[in-house]
Amino acid sequence: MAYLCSSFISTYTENLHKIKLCVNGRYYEFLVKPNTTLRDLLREKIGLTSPKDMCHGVGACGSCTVILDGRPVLSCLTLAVDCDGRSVETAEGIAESAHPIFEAYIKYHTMQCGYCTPGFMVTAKALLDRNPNPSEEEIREALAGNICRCGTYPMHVIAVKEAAEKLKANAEDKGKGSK
Amino acid sequence: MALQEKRPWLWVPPKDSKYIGKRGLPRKDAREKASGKAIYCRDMFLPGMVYAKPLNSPYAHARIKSIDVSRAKEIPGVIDVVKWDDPELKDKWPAWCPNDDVEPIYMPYLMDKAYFYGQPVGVIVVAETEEACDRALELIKRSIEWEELPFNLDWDKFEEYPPAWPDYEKYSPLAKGNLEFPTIEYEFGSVEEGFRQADRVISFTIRKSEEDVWAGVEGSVAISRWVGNYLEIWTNHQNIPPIRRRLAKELNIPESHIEIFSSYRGAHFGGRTFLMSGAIEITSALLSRKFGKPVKFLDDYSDFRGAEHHLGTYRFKVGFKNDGTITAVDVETVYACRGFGKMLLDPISKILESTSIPNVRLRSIYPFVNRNPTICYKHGAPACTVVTMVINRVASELNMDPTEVALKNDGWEGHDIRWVYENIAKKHGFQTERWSLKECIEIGKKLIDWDEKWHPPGTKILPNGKYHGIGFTAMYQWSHRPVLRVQFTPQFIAFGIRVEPDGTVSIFGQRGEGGVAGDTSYSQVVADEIGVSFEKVVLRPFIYKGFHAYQMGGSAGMVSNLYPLVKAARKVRSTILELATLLPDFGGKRIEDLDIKDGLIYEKNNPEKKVPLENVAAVYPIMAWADSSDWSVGMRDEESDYRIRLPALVRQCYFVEVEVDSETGKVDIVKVICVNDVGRAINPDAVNGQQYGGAYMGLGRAFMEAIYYDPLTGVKLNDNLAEYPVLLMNDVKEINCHIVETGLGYGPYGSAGCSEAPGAVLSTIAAPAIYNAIGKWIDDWPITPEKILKALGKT
Repeated sequence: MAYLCSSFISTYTENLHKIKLCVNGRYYEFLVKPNTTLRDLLREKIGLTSPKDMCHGVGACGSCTVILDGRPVLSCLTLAVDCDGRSVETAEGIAESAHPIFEAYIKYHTMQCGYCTPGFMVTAKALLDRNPNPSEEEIREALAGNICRCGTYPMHVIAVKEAAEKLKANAEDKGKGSK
Repeated sequence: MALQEKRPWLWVPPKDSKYIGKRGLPRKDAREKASGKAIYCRDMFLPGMVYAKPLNSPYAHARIKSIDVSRAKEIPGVIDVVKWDDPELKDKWPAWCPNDDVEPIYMPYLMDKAYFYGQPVGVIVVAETEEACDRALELIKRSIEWEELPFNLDWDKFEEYPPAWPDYEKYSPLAKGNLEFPTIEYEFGSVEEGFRQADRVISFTIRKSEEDVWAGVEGSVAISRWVGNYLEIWTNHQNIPPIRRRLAKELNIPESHIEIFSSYRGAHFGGRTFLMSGAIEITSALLSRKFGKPVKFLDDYSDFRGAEHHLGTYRFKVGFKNDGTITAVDVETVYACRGFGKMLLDPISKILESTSIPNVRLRSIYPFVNRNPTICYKHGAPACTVVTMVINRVASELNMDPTEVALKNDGWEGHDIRWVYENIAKKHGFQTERWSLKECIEIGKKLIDWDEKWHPPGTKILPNGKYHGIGFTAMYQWSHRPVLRVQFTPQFIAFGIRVEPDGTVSIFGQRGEGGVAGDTSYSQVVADEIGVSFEKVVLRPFIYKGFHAYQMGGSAGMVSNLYPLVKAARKVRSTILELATLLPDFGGKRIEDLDIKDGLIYEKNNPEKKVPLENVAAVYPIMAWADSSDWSVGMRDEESDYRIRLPALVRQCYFVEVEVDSETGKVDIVKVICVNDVGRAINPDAVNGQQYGGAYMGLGRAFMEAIYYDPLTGVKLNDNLAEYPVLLMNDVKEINCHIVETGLGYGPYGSAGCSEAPGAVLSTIAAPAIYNAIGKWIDDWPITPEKILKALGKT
């Protein structure tokens, strides 16, 4: 699927850049201003509400984390023009893909107010993508940049461990199946 | 109704309950929240919507001499810049903090002057985009000629300075000069007599020197849209009923013309209920009416504009006997200004509520300073400070175990706890074989290995070279007497329950959903009380459908809401059974012959004969509601009226183990134990969430959270999440939470609640823990590495 957005803000027609990107497996084209952030693009043009604004764009909270070409990035500090031709994964996409981290996050009450939860889950998924069997220390280290003012921290470690176990079991099942 | 029926603590869950108290149930909101699809107010967009943002003062105390907004108006996308003296709005700005329930403060939300750094001042920019608002505000800030006024940041020196909020007297009937309201002074018993009875008397002072703030998550926001004479408004405010009332009053429209939508709310803690309460919503409605468009009013700075109200100086004089019995506590406090009137701050209340100390005196003054207004969030820290320090300082003077001092002085208003149980609790029908505090302490001591690890102060150096310390504090569980909450809530708490034609059950009770899993817990109760599955019960608390739940999740939300909720559920159940007797399936049967289980109505004597609930619901309307107006009746005993001051029967205690690096002053929080007697846990997973969640916030307050001001300019230096220190994932190595259920709460089934307490109580535990580690009391909070090094003589 692809469509063209004529402009990001109608009052500006100069200095717009055309970008193409893939978000959660769907393809988009946009004209964006040079200073438009990836977070604003995802929220305002695609309607994805998972990248949140907690620290007002200073990169301090992790609540806007998305996965860009396999790496977790702070979408408030990532310019949309730099995402041309790249692939983005958000919490919405992880939920739709039925990744074990999503079910584990639900099972273990990793949220209270829930505002920071998508950012945590995306960061955790990125960890599991690069390290399917993380130690507790590695989980804690990966999530150390995410702020939760409700203090849900202990449950994230448990949830990520369980998701890793599920991934391992799934891989083993797959292995058995291929034999 | 018999008195017994109005004593909800004597109610018991249905005998076949499947959900009350059960672990492992998924939160109702979990999928929405984890996937990012939960809609918060900041996520909301309306067609044609424009944005509005206020200017925040760049000075601690200043007045606008001149302002030029012409260049800002030329920025593409800017619709207008509304000034404080706008001819259309100047007499209509809302009161910044009305507090109608206590002492009205009608200082306008927008003025040409500011009393602290970050206060909204001068102008509001209205624009098509947030970005245009921000650009315009930067230009305007530079265009203003300010008259800088003298400022004072130190509440202890208020007498040396001219009034910090000089015009406040015009708005508050209680303010005078540099004092927000008159000195509060009262005495329980006779402290002089208590000191005479004491073997020893000690004096000490502590100071909470820097502010901890919400440093929250989703800044305040309100979106207004007028549809003819009707106002639609979306808000992330916690407390909807008073906002609705204020909107009607100040906009001069009927309440029936106002529809408020409450969204999910990103970590709003307590005080937003009061500080600038409603001002944002009313301002957005005024601007929406002026510009004829939906207006999204964004208060981005709100999370750094209010501080927890324990900011102040506490001077103690404490008398005690050599066996640890405390005979008198005299406390003088000087609290930094609050700016919202006289309410909710009584620093000796928890000494009276949770100890048997018979003689207590308070003298409190409240000077203005040019800092953030202070307010409660995770409410109760000031009074927790007093209890923690009194117990631990007495224990240290006597070389006693502080847990023994706490137990020796457990009680209520001068009475020993056993007297309370025997003379009051029993009369109200409670089972009093268990001693809540003793049970909590024994469990906590075991979990932290207290008997092995507690040691004389400053005597244990670990193999890694660090000091080892262990701290303790205890308190009553204060979310327990909903009758007080009923008084604070401008409308009685009420729930409606409807069985939909398909047999699913809707709960109606609007509230600001803050994350305490109310929708899940209330659904568990309704499912069990009616006899349907948990999955079929839904509470979407966002829309007003005639019923307001008690709003504050942490402050007694559970116990307050359960009373009308259980009553309504029981009415629904009776209605279902009554209507079922009309079905041909149950011809000739009486109500008492029938029962409901798993959504099936069946004959008790012939369980095979059953019909689905929807067979009744599809034919007859089934709905009931109940409120909390008669709750207080059950709180009275036959001989005296304890309606307001019923004693707390349940307790909580905390332990924290730390390691202190003597070279850097750095503190490692190694282990935290939270033990809370919640009376009866409805959703133990949610209770645990409040325990460890509160622990993180409380310990953050204790050890690091602080807003720093430049003493020369009064400017805040770290008012953003990048520089304001909060506890993160790796800052606490282990938290162990334990729930005790003695059934000694005044809520339904003996529930007492938990929520805000851990955050408040644990904010005081740093002092005894660090004392145990280094052998020196640090009386300046938060206890940062610099202060530890200073205490160790290393700076």
